[in-house]
This record gives sequence, C-alpha cells and structure tokens, in this order.
Amino acid sequence: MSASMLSYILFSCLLLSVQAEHYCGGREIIRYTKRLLVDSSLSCPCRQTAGSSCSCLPIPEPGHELPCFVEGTKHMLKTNMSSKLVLERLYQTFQVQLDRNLCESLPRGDQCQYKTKGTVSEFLNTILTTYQAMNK
Amino acid sequence: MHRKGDSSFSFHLAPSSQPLFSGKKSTSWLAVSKTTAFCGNTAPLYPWTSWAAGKVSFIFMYGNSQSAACLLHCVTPQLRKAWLWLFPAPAVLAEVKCVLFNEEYMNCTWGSRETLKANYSLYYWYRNTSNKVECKHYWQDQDIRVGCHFNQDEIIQFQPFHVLLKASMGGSTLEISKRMELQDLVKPDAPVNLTIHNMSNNQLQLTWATTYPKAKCLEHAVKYKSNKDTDWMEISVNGDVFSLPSVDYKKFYTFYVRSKVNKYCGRTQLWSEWSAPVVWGSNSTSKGTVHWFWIQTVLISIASCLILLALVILLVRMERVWVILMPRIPNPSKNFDELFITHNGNFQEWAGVPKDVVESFKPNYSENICYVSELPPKDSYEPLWESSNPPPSVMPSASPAPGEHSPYKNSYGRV
Repeated sequence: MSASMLSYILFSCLLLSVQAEHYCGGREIIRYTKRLLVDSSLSCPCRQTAGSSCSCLPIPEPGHELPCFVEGTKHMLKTNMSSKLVLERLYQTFQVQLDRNLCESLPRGDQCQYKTKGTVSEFLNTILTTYQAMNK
Repeated sequence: MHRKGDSSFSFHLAPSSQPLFSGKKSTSWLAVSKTTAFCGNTAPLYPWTSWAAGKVSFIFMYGNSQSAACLLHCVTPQLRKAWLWLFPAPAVLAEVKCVLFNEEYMNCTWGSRETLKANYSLYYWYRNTSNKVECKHYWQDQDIRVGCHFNQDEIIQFQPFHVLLKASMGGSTLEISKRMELQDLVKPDAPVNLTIHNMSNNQLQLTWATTYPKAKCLEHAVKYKSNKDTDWMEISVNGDVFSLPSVDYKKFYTFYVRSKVNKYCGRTQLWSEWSAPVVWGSNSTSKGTVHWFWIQTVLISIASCLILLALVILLVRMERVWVILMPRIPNPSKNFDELFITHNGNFQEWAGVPKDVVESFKPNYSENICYVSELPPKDSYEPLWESSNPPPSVMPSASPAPGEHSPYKNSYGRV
C-alpha cells in the first residue's frame, strides 16, 4: 500500500470519526417521534400520579435531555405501548448517543433530572422540540 | 361568575329571569333581568342603569362578534366599590395571537378597537425568568392598544414563551396569560426570483430563492395551471426545484410558489403568502384561436357538402358517367333473340348451316335388322329351356320398332 493511499485512508477515518461526534440523527428521530405521536393516545392526564393506568414520563430539565429520553423510552417499552418497533429504535438511538457521547449539540447530563412528569404526548413533544432545535 | 372587588363587601345579581346569551356584535346584549340590569352595544356606549336596590352601576361590554361579556361596576353611596363579571371574562376576551414573520420580527395581537375598550399592557418572559418585561412597541388603533411588536433580539425560539395581558379599566384589572413555542409560529416570507428553464424533451424546470435564513428548514408548494385548464394543480416540493415533465408549447402556463417550515425545524402550520407569478408559453389570444378553429370546421363542412352535391348531380344527369361508375350486368339473351323469334329454335338454320349439309346428315336408306341366334345341339344336352318355354324364333322378324336399331340386342348366334 502506497504512502498516499495510507494517508488518504487515515484522513478519511479521522474525518468520519469527527463527523460521528456530531451525528445526532435528528431527522430520523423526528420522523420516528412524529409517527409515535400519531399512534399514541394523547389523552393521558397523568401528573405525578402513581399507579396510574397510563405512563408518566419525565419532562427533562435543560441539559439533562438525553438521560431522560433514555429513561422515558425504556419505560414506554416496558409498558407495552403501541409501535414497539419504533420505540425500540428510538431507545437504542438515545442509548447509543448517551454511551458513545455522540451528538455534541445535545448536552449530556449524567442522570435524568426533571421537575415534572408528563403524558406520553408531552414527553414526545419534548423530544421533538429538542431535536428540531438542533436541526435548526 | 362572581368576584370580589376592592372593597370588603360583595354583591350578587338576582337570578336571571331570562337566559343569558350572546349574539352578534351589533345586537350583543344580555339580560339579567328586565328590572335589574342590561348590557349592550347600543349608543351610548356606557349605558347607565339602576338596580332595583338603588345601586348604580356603569357597565362595560367586552367581546367580539362571537361572544360578549359584561363588567358591572358597583359604587355605593358610601363610595364603596365592587365589580362583577357576568361572563367568565378570560374566556371571552380575544386570545393573544403571535406570528413570527420570517424570523425577523414578531407581532402579537389581541383584538381591535371595535371589540375592546380598555387599557392594555403586555408582559412577556421566557421559561423560568422571573422578571417580566413589558412590550416596548405597542400597535395602536387610534387610542386603544391592540398588539405588540417584538424585534429580532427579543425573540428566542425553543424556549417556552409566556405572555401576560392586563386589561385595566376603572381601577379594576383583568389578566390573561398564555404559553407559546415561538418556533411553531414562524411564517416565512414568500419565495422570490421565480425562474423557468427550458429543458430537453418538452420539460420545464422552475427554480426560486427564499429570504428565509434557513432554507433547509423549508418545504414548498407549487401551484400552476395553463390557459386551457380550469383548476389549479398544487404539488408539494421538498427542494427548491420543480420539474414539469411535458408541456404544450401552444399553451400558456402560470406558476406560483409558497413555503412553510418543515417538520424537522418546527410544528408550524403557517404557510407563507403565494409568490409573485411567473408565466411561460404562447400568449396568443385564445379567442382568436377558437375563431380560426370554428372557421376551419365550417369551411371544410360546406366544401364537403358542395362536392357531394356536385357528384350527385353529375351522376343523375350524365348517364355516361353513371354507366362508368355503375356498369350494367351483361344480359346475353339479346344475342339469341333471332334464334328463338325468327328461326323458331332451329339452331341449324340460325347458325346458317347450308341445307344440303343438313340433308346429308339425314339417312337415305333403311336397313332391316337381321337377328342371329344359335341353334341348340341335337343330343348332347337337354335343351336349355323347359318345354313350357318355347324356343326363341330363328326367323327374321319384321322391321324393328323405331328406335331399336342396335343389332346387338340380346340375341344368340352361332359361335
């Protein structure tokens, strides 16, 4: 392998690794979230109620979005909500972004911090808003 | 709905004898009871009325064409004040509506002079900001504040935006608060510089530009029709190029484009205004084209009819032409008229066969037929016939009957 070819490969790897740090998958996440918003029940009025039949999901504080998204989608998967495949995809994406420190645009707190818990619709809209802000 | 005023006392209305209702702006009024109070939009604007108990109130009417609300302000002779809303006022007042124009400035409005008459103040803040900031640039409709203008540096998207509208009048203040997401209220400017390019294979390509700062966040819609179409065609486009695969060069096309923030950058439903139109194609007057088409049709029809008529006349009047076009089926019987009429069926005579030749075919002699038969042997065998059957005669017979000329007819002869 010639020196020029080697340098080309090394440069490409460096470029890809730099790009990977900025990979947020915003468009994909927005598409999946919009699909869930259409499927999910929007009339679930749960506000800090335990034992409710519907899920209560964390509305994250600024800077702690990603851990809360991981926790929220994980909880939705456990409760056997509809569109399990899409939920699984979302959960995996959030988990990977959290573990591998991808997407520098998204602040990465260690733990999920929230002031209130909201409905499924509110949680999904928070995801939507967060990634729309990054896209813009 | 009852509320306490500034004083320590409160008052209430007697149960209404008529139902409370709201109507159109010009006739909006409510009747609490015929003797108690009324609230209306009739002149003068602030009608006075008297309570049955002798308390005087002045009444303000709030609302718009859909509903109305009344504020009863009671002042006792001891100058103690109280006020009372007859409708749940916050639901009646015009809602605060904000639009972010091309992410350059924002206008929030809450009504018009015709519907509202109070002193308004708007305060806003973002997320958890404790300090509320008052609007710096109010829109005024004569002497009434009806909206607020926000500059670009006062706008922050993707943070909860809170507004508080205070309506004060006669010492009493009404407050309306609302929470909004400004990224969902963006209305882009209309696209500009619409340009049409002629491509190969009768294809048109339409391009445009936008003044919106983030072009990747836009989706577009193209509306077009030709001068021969009745309805507009509207197509959604994600990029900034639109292709029309096949066009008719004889038609005249008009195109419009508008934009909206796409789902990857917001949840707005606000489309921009339609752009200035761009046109393409043949601009010949459609009326002239139609006239020429009808002239052609009529001329061709008349010419065809005339030609047909001429042919018919020719056919009828000139038998020679008729015979050429419609030849007769040959009838050979004429050739044989002489045979049957003149010569009475005598073919030889008609054919002109000479008489001596005809005579020569007739026989001039006659021959008697000689019948020959075999005599049976004397002793060798029994006669071939029984005694009951007489032997055939050996004597020559008389002349044969006519038609029997064949000498080979069933006879026996000596071998």
